[in-house]
Amino acid sequence: MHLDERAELYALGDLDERERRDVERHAASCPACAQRLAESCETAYALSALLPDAGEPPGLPGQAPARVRGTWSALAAVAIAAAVVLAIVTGILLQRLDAQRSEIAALRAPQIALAQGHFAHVPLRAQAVAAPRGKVIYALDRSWCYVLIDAAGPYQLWVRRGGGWRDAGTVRGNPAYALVRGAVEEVAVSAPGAPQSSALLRASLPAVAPSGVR
Amino acid sequence: MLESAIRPSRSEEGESALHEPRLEQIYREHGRRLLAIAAAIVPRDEAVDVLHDALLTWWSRPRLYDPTRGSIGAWLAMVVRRKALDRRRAAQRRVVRERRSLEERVIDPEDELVARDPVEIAHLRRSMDALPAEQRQALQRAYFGGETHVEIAVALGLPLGTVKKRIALAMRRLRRDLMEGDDRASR
Repeated sequence: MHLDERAELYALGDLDERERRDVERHAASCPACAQRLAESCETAYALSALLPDAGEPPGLPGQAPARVRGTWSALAAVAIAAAVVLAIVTGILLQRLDAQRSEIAALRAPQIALAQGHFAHVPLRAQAVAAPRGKVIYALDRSWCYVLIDAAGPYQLWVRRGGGWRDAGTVRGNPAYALVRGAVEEVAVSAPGAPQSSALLRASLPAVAPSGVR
Repeated sequence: MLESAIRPSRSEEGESALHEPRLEQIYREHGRRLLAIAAAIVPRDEAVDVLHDALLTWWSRPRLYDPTRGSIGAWLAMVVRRKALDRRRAAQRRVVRERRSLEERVIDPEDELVARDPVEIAHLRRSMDALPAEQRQALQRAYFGGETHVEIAVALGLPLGTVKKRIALAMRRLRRDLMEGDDRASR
């Protein structure tokens, strides 16, 4: 049996999960319905021409500052993509991070930086044989940094700002993630309960992106 | 594992490196329209999240998009609407914002529309105007008002099935109209 009105309703995105899967399954084996589905989706998209303009979404590549272009273009493309990811996982972070820690916050900073387009990636350097891999993605304007550890948490996160190290809270998840708001010059990751001096991972966050970053 | 989780360095994954410039291109070409679609359903700040969510859906699992089912923009528009409607339903609240009448929204020449092409706008308006009134009303509430089918049924005092039927019929007529228009233009 061919698709009925579900083809049009699918295009408008208002089918429940089961109906949607049924439609997709049928269309996969029925070229006529696949065509109808495609045309319905095109029609729904065409209608968007009559919608009130909601402005440009933040972080359109065309809005990136000039210095992100040229040799920075590859970095910008990666950073934009990463920042999209960051924006999405913000909600997850909200649940993962210790809300009492002022150093760590789930926030909209990635979206802000997405518009600014100033990003860099640096690896977290292993300080011990058994240390996991990790990296830091950070905004060059120092508004935030994002710590990623290729292993299941928890880990203890330390950040250095203006000369002093601070306990920045616990990094959880698998892989473990943490978003740190504000200016950070250096990051250290230790086992839970271990001091900063016995960190497993370290990274410095230079103001100018290190060469070779993506 | 780290790369697969966050994918900032997908260039190490061969073909996936192709997706980064593609993401940028899609964002540039379709972002504004996709944001307008989401913003018709949820408040703008949530619409931005919906847009990013939809793009991430494709970027992380590009095989979800089947080119035989239409353009990437049309597919993303469907995903954006679905995610925005999910949010709207999950929030279990009506969007709190002042709305002008839906009829006015479509035909008011003072509206700053997401499209800039007057021919495209005029064509779509003619197609909308040609719909039977009850179909137009249902589609306007669904698409331009961002209401779910259930919300429309409650607001109009109609059975849910009737609302769905009217919307589907409206979409079918528009589809035929627009596709025929494309055929004429290409001849």
